[in-house]
Amino acid sequence: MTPDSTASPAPLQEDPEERQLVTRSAAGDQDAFRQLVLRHHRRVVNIAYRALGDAGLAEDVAQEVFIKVFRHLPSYRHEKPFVHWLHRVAANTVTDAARHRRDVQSLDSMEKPPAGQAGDPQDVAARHDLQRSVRRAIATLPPHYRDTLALQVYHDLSYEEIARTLDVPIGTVMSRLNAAKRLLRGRFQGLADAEGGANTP
Amino acid sequence: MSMTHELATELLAPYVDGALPLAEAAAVRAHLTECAACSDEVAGLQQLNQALAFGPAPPVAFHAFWAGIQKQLPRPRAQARVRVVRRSLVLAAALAALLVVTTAASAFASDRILPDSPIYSLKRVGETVRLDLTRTRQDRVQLELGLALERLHEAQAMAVARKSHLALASLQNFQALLTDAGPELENPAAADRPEVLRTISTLTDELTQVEQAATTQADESDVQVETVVQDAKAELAQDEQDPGAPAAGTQPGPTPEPQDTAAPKESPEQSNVPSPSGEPTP
Repeated sequence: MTPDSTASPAPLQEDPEERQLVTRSAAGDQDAFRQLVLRHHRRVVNIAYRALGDAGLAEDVAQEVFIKVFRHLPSYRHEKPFVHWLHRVAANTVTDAARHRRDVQSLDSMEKPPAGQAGDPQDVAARHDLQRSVRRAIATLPPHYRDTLALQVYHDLSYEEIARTLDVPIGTVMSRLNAAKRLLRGRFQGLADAEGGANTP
Repeated sequence: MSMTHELATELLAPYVDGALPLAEAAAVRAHLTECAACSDEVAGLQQLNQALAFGPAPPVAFHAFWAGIQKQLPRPRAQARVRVVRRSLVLAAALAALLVVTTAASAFASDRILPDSPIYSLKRVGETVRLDLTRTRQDRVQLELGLALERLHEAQAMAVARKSHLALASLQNFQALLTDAGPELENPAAADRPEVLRTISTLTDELTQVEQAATTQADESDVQVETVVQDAKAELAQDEQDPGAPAAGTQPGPTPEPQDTAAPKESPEQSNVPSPSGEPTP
């Protein structure tokens, strides 16, 4: 069996222009910060959207991420590429938003999938429900596994990038993802069955 | 290399994700040909990966997105501006004292009239006229900052050309301009103009470069530069902690580092920024 490659690479190096933008933003230059946001806003919105499943909420949370970044930039020690720190702030903010959302919503809430999706409406709805179940299952994992898996699945990072973002050896990433996915298969199947209908193809 | 079943089971997820080095991937693949349990697990993991394939968000209208952020950003504080100006003065003193040579490309813009040019005095007369023509204090400050940047570039060019007396003269004017502009920057009307912010940003960048160039040169005289720079930083760091205190003399001893705390001082959010979201244990 051939291995799949699921992650698309994000840039690991930092170009000098971005370093400058970060320095200026830390000094309070909002024009520079706007350019920084322009560079990274899609990245952060995608993270929030994958984790939360709702486009409007994802944009709100993404805005929150950047506001936090701006506030904490003056005390950020720019030792590694900015993007790693950005992913950490995004991960924390999104996790908090997801927790808060779960507290507020009932299990039976009807979230509609976004309009304009290609494909048969029933398939789209089924996919949407499936991913909602998957998100719920991920949230039940122990924190180390959940957070590492989130970086792969919501942040779309490679193993190498996850290792750098969390500042752990790549072997640690491998063992966490291995254990997380093993656990997830069990829990996800359990949740999907409980919701009354197996969604697996 | 042949792989035990125990080891293979630990590597199946990275194998499926394509994250294993070639040799280990080959060993896992070999193991799969003789282990039905692992083959089943691999199939299950591939299926799981399909369920985990969350797609990207719909397109984002950036203008509105940024507007939402901008509304919540703190108003630029005049304090920060005054700090930058003070830092500039202190570093300029260091430069003047030691005439550090830098290689800033911007200093050598081809149309720049330098102090060793026969028509340099005309340039300065022109500037004086422009300064006199400014109608408001804010306009004057904006012009002074631009001229200060120009003086910095001149000083750098003269230092490279080993014309130290001309470099020194430009630096002295640099200090005079910033001393004049400094107090007015506490006034938001002056400090919040995009042009002013941009110039201060540029000044900060270039002085940082000068500072870095100074501290990386391997010359005996640069121990002095480093000391002056560290003293300046110490003074400014003290200023940051106690903005009300009057400017003290330079401080001996270790430089206080900028704070890199996990807990933000002002916000009551739950999440811990910027610490990692999990302990580094497998």
